[in-house]
Amino acid sequence: MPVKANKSDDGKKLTIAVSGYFDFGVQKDFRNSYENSSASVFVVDMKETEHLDSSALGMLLMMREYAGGNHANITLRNCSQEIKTILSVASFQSLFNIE
Amino acid sequence: MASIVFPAQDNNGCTHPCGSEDHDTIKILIADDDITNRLVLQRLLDLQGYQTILSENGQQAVEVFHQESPDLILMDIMMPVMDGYAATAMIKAHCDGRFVPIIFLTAVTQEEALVDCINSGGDDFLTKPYNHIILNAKIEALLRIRQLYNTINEQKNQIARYHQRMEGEIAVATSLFEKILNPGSLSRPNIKYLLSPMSLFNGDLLIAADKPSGGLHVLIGDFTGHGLGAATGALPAATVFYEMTNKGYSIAEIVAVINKKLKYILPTGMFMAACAVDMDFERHTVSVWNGGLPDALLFNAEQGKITHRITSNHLPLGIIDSIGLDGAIQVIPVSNQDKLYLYTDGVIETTDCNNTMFGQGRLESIFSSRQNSANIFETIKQNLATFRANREQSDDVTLLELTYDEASLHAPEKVNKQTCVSANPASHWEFTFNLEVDALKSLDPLPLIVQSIVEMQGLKEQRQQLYTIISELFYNALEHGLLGMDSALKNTMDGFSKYYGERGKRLAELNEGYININIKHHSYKSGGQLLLRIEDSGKGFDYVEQLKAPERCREYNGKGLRLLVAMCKSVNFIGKGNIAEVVYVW
Repeated sequence: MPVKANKSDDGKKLTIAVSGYFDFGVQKDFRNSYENSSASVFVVDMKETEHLDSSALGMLLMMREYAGGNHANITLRNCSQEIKTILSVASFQSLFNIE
Repeated sequence: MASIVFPAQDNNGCTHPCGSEDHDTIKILIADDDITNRLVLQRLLDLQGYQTILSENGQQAVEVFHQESPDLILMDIMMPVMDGYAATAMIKAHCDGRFVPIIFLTAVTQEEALVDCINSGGDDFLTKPYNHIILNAKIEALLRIRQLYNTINEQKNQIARYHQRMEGEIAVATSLFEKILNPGSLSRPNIKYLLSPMSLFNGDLLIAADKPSGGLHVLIGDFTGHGLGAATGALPAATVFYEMTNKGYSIAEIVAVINKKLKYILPTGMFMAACAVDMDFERHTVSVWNGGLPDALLFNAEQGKITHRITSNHLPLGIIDSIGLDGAIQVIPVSNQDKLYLYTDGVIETTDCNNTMFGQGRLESIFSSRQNSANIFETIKQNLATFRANREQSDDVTLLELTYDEASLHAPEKVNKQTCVSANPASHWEFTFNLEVDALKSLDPLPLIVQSIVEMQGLKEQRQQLYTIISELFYNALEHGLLGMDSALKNTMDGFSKYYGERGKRLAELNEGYININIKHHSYKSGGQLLLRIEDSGKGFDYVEQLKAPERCREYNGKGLRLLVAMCKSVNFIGKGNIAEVVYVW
């Protein structure tokens, strides 16, 4: 499975790891991983993510809206240099915590 | 009594590819010259509940086939008038896409003729004397195949109809897109572009329009995704772009409105990464707003290198509710023949057969090679094509080269067909704007003023000149009169951005002041005259000296003053120099 979700013990924090290509192919799995999760803090772990395309940016925006829009608490973790560049070109640092 | 059990019939008459139909709706044609054979077969089929029709020879069978449209045919071979082979060939030739199974009735001694049965179009054969179990099984089997065939055929027709309708709709959509996204000013000689959509509809957007004051606005955009869905957002973006440019709005205002519109109409997760450019031939600048596209590159041919890089510093359009007008736009002074390169990520993400990306490095190496410098655009285009070779395109690819070419300042203005001004020319009128500090901080009154004059008088052809005159007067009143800026600052590269930084700062800090604009119109038999009077609350300047040598002017923008003198019948300063009066005649 390219998308793996892990909930913290108290159920408040959801960590979603995406491996390989983060693109339209994982759209459904990615959405299913956070919908109805009842978590309030989200982490997208990109340690195993090789590439990220613009549809992935769109999926992140949908997740952000689901998680409360401007009040969403979403961290994008373990981003490679390439992914960081893509995120920064789109100025996503103003919408997400990028680590 | 059938020896094979078929799936239960669907009660509501729905056809199922594997189910058999009600026998009493099935019509079977028997063609045999021997009356005994005919009657035996008829009896067997009656027992199964089939409808039967009889004919005595091939000729009659063909006629009955046309009149009755049987579902299946039992065909004897040797018959008078026309034999079974000929009749079968004729019937099969007239089935019009339907599948009508034909079973040949043969004597065991005619075994060698079986090949001919199949060759003439028959589907199966049955040897005499008839075994009713085998007969029924064969009929059932062929009816099933027939039903399957008909279902597939019906689906095929449905697809064909759907396809036809789609093609019609696509044709309408394509012509609609072409009209709205009409290349407008892209045909100017200083623009070269490559648009290579991966499907029929382009998810990339490239539009350009002449500004009423001269100069050019360009917008290049890349929507999330590809194809029709992505292309749909291009329509409102283009409409806003053309209309606002035509009315004289600044690129920052246009970008803000497009953002608002896209945010409203696009579903979450869809957005447009974009780069908007204002090429100003009077101020010798290009202003670039980049939200989410790769670095825009400014290339200076004389130095043979990239002198500026405009990196994205903003979110793409359509993500947040409103975007600020300031800050994100980078103003760069340019010299003649500088070239600005804009491209979507489809360019650098073009992949070769090893899945390696073309990449930023490979792109920029083209700029640093001397031998390419005369023809960078073509070189990039060729290198991309060679790199991709036969690989299928995986994203829309758009590349634009914009040359700062002062000669194109005199390019004829393209009339944008999408906006029309119809007005019965008024004759004598006058209006005044009194702008206080808060209005000056939050409002750009120029588009409104110019639009009012143009619409009242139908002065479409004078729009460009009017815009230039009013903007020169207004910006001089604001920047030099109220803010006390020194235009000599603008003469150096560094000073230029400092100038605009300082301008923003001083405007924000401004506590008091005003600009009054008064415009009087007089009509003549042919043409007319405008008297424009602009007064600011600043301390004025020594206009007597300055008018003698406008190029050395510090307080007043020298270039702007020369422009005014060239365009207007008269240019006068009054009082201490804080009032300007110009007369424009056409």
